[in-house]
Amino acid sequence: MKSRHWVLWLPPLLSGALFVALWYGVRAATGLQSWILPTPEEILAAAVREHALLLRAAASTAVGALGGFLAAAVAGLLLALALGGARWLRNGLYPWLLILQMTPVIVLAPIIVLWAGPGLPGIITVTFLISFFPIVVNTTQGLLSADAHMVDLFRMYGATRRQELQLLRLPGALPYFLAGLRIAATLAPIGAIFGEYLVGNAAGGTGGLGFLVYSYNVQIKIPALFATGLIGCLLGFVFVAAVAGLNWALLHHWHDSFERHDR
Amino acid sequence: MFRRLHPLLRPLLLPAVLLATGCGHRAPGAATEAPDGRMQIRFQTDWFPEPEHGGYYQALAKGYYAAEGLDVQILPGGPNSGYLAAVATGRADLGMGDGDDVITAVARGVPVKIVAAEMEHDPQGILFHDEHPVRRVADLDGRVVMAGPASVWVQVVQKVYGVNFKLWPLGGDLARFMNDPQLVQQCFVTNEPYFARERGARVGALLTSQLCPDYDPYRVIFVQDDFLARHPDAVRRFVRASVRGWVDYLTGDPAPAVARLRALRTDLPAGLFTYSLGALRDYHLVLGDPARGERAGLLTRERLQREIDLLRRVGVLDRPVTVDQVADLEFVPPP
Amino acid sequence: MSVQPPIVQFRAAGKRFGAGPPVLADITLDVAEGEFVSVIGPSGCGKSTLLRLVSALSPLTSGDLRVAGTTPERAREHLAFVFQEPTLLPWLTAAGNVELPLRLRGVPAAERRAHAGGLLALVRLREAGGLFPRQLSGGMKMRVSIARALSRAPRILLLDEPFGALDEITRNHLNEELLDWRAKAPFTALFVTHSVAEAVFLSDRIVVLAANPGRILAEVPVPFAYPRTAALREDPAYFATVAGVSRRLHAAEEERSA
Repeated sequence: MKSRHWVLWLPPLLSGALFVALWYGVRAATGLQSWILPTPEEILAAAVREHALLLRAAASTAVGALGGFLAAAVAGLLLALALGGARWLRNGLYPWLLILQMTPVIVLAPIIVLWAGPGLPGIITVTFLISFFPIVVNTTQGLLSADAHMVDLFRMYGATRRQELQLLRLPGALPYFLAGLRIAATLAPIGAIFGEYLVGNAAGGTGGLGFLVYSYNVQIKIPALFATGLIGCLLGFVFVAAVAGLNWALLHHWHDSFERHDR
Repeated sequence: MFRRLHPLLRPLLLPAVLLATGCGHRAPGAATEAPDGRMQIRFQTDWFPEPEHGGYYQALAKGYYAAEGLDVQILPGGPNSGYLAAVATGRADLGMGDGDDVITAVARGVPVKIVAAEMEHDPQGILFHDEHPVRRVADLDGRVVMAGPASVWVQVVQKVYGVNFKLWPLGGDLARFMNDPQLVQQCFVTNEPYFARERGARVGALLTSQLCPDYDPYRVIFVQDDFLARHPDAVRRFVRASVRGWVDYLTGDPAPAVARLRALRTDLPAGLFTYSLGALRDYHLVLGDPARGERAGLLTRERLQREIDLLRRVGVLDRPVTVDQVADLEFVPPP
Repeated sequence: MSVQPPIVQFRAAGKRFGAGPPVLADITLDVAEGEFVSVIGPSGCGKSTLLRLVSALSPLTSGDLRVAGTTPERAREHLAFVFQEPTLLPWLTAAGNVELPLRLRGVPAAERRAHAGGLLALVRLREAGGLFPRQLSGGMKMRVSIARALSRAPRILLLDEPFGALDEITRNHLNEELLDWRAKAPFTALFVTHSVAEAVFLSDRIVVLAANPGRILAEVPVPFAYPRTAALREDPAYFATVAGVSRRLHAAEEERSA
């Protein structure tokens, strides 16, 4: 329906235009120079000028982000299975998980480099640390949230623990797991960029967006710095969209969250 | 300068080393032979590849290492790369870095030793705007200075010279400096002034050793104790080839090194390399002052002792250490 | 009267949770095979607990209980439970849900599908097999739940207020159909409900429980012959029976608050 499309696209476009207008307004009002607050045109021009470097860096960051994200998904799922399976494990491990989550990654950086080595392994480790907690917490919650009556039913039908896990708890935990993945998808690209900044050692265009942040900063190439941020944002969008797509593919036919309003 | 952020690393270093002793990529002290019979050496630098590492890349590009029967792999560092820990745990055989850091590490029990000077004088200095220059250490009084909070030179200025200034922690960039004509910022004289001038600022730079004549650390090449014990001859050859590379980089045609470095750092402009080389020469950083008997690679007992005494005096070294504990002077190539 | 032993036998059975007061006390009750027995009583009288004891979801704390001649645990294969909520797995289709008990037993897929198809036809949902629970109405979901319960041809069907959440018309229809399904594939029924009218319509016998602790106050036989149709609801004798049982129920409630 034509009118429906307009309704979808108009608000973001309008607010985007408003934002850009505000940007120019702030510059005019405060007189900030381009090396603190470049104009959107300067940023776009820098993006075009540096596009080769930016694209290569984005690819590098994407690899790091994907690596950390996948590791977090797998490890998160396995850890959740362990935590969801036994109360004593849950009580025993959870405080340590919390401590790990709350320790600032900056403090862990030297240790990460010592263990994983600088460069890509270190970056993947940082990305992993930043992304895996939401996945573990959400998935564990999902595994524990099976309907009590359903559990009774399974018991009555003589289901083994394995059958209960496979046919009841795991499928039931899927929406929760995907919710955790959606959160992790927003964190992974940021984590990778931060990791590159923190423990990267690569040069020659393989250093990723985080390395470019350092490099442009040193050279006071501020429009290019903002352009790097812009590309980072776009990378984040790609990640989130991919996971949202996965979410839709796996859930849309049965989950309440996709309920249509015309029933 | 940005790399001075790593003083945060120092307290973690010893436990980290103990933690990771099993994690080195090859057994400490072991060496491998390349298929052509050359000995493999992994050399760790302290930062991303940059013009200030040029001597090694020159030696590599012009085959000086090969001529000594060595197959050298240069491992670039970076922020938090832990270049000291890398050498101490065997992830690399030799490394380069700040002389003060290495002395402090040895005093804390890290198993490394200095075997040569990379530079006779460290490139660390301060950057200021021409409108508010700094000519002597007293000019810093009452100024705002951006420096690494645990920097040795800050301790020296405050404790030895009794000058007080407001200290801001070093950020990773020049943005605040560019906007504040009165700000003084710690820098490498071979690096930051170039970018500031490219952005139209009129700036000057001074070495910290010019500010504080008592404080004049080396930039050093160091080696893991175990590797040194097993392969002293290889260390000697490495140092010889490296010094040759540095001399050629500064007095000959630096193009081979610059080409290698530019390939590794496609993000840096050509002008930086020219500027950096010029600064290395003009400040006599690597080759030193021949009138004072300085030359590339030279380590003297007197200067090392003076540095140890200074570090003790400002409290960076909490226990005594001897020159022979931190350095082995017999690997310096003869003139 | 059947000559065979009762399929459910309570002997002075009691249940208490931990050190708390007893939820059920001194329950002595026989249910003959093929009987339809309803259990009614005020809230908190342990009606649901009674079903949980039979299905071995809760263990007895005193007395004795025999189900199909053995302990409730060993009798599980003869039992099926229908809860008040349909409790369908939302990620499986209606057919998938009906197949579930067979799947847990390891029945191969083709056989499962055929069997489930037959059951869905029985509950008049043949075309809905491919729909997901969120696409089904409350009444449809309950039919699927019952079809699932019937999938292993249980000898005893336990129902805990299964139609309580539905509107009256749907409820009446499902009552009639439940009796119809029982006629086609016989089972013994233990049916918990709040509705006296429903209990009278469905049962051979109504057990009235009192609360605090839950114990049997009265057992009322229901004299109407099967098959029972909607016409029964117009019969004056039906109203009289409903009134009589309601009086017993009120007496039970007053006893509780006494």
